[in-house]
Formats: sequence, C-alpha cells, structure tokens
Amino acid sequence: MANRVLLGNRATGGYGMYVSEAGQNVLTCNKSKLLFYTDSGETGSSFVAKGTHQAVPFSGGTGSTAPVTKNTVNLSSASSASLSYQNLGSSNFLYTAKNSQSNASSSDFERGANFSSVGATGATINRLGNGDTYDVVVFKKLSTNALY
Amino acid sequence: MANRILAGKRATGGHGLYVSRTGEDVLTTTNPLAFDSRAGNSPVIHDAGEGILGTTANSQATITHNLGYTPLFAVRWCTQAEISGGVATKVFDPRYSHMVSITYPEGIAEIQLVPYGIFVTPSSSNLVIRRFMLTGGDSVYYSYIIFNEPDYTGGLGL
Repeated sequence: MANRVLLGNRATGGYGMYVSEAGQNVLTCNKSKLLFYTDSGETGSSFVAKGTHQAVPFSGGTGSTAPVTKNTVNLSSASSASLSYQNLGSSNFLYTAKNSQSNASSSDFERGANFSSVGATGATINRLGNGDTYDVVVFKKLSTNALY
Repeated sequence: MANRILAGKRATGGHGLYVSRTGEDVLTTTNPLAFDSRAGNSPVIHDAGEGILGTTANSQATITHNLGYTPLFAVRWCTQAEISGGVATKVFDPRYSHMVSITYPEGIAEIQLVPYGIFVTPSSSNLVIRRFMLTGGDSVYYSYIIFNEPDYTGGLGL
C-alpha cells in the first residue's frame, strides 16, 4: 500500500500536510497526483495548492451528523426565501443552477435567481422571472480579497 | 512561520482538522481556510485567479491548466460598476446575457440581442474567457476556479 498522508518535510514542497491519490506515493508522486497539500504561495499553471472549494453545510457537519450541502428551494409562488446554513465564518459564496435559461418565454427574458444579504449563517435567494425550484450550494470564498 | 495545521480544538470551530493558507495562522485567522473538517464534501481546486479584459471586442484571457481533460470550472464576471473596495458587490455567471428593445429615430422598434457578457470555453489544456461585447463600453472583471474534477456540466461550469 502506498504512503498516502504526510505531515512533515517533503523533498518537493518542504514542511506541510500532503495527501496523495490512491496508489500514489505521497513522498515522491507528481504534484498533480496530490489530492491536497498546504500551499506555499505557488503561482503557475501546473499545481494543486489552493485546497478545496469548501462546501458549507446547511445542516449537520458536527458530531455524528453528516453534512447536508445541497438545499432545494421552491420558489414556485414566493419570489424570495431565506436560507440558513452552518457558521463556518463569513466570506461565503452561493451557487445555483438554472440561471439565464434559454426557455424563457417572450415576456420573461430574465431567468434564474440571485442572492442578497449573504452573511456567515444565512442569505436570501431572490427569484427572477417565473416560479421554479433551485438547487443551492454554499461555498467558502478563497480569499476575502478575491474579486468574489 | 505561521501555524498552518491544527488537529484538535480551535477557539472558533471546536474539535477538528484545520489547515490555513500560506502566511495565515490557523489558530486565529478569520480568512477562509484551505481545509476545514466542518465543511461538506468539497471539490479540489487546481487553480484560481482573476483578471480584467479590456474594451476591445472579443478580447480574451487564456488560462493554461494542462490537466489533459476538460475540468469542472466556475467563472463569474462583472464590470467596474459592480466593484467596491476591490471586491465585487454583484457578479454574473457566463450564461448571463440580455436583450434590449431599440427604438430608432424613425419610430421603428426592434428587439436586438446586444452582446453583453462573456463566453467561457474549456478544453483539456486551457480555459478561455472571452469578452462578448462591442468595442468600447465596459471592461470585464473576471474570476475563475479550475477544479481537479472532470467537467460534469456539459461545459457550462458551476
């Protein structure tokens, strides 16, 4: 079985935490075969160093309760709804599908949904156009200084 | 050198495994962490960045990833009007576009699709972000994340 997890000094990368893909030796494999490692501020196009795009659970994620990371919001009649999620800090970003669908009727060009009042524990989803349901996922931003 | 890894009890978050980004003290930082065991299953990031596309028609940025397959990605964009303090107050996904009604001086009304937005084209080697507007007007501020996961959205992205 290959070495999969390293906490310490790696020949390539130095001190940090490294996790390799199944079957890959974390000590020697190419960076592209690492599932995760602590970044050292690398720039370029052939690295895996930014960590994960962390999904903020709507519920669970603590104790023995599994995290629930998708919330289906029904806005068939209401035009907006409040969302609540676990507090993993501020700087959250919300995704939903169904934005700007091509099946808009001639009187309803604007489709999809947007978000407002995004905070550490909640946000508001606002429907655009006709009623619909929306799958929503909350992610942590990569940086408080990022464009989004 | 900052503390980067904590397996134990954190003042904010309680017991868990926490990893901070470079230069950040995992014990105290309020910035987003690189890993937080309280989070749900999360896609792994290959590359991320942001930039500006100028006001020439179809100006574009090519981000090389060399993954060998078309990856899952997320792109958002806005214009200067949506920027405040270096951070976007509102962003649009690449599928956003809009139509306007134009009434000519002769009184003839016409519905036109006015190019206003961006195109994103992923491939096995790069991600191309192209401004889809007429020459002049707004510069496009874009942000992107390229994930390690292969694309499962049919090229639409998150």
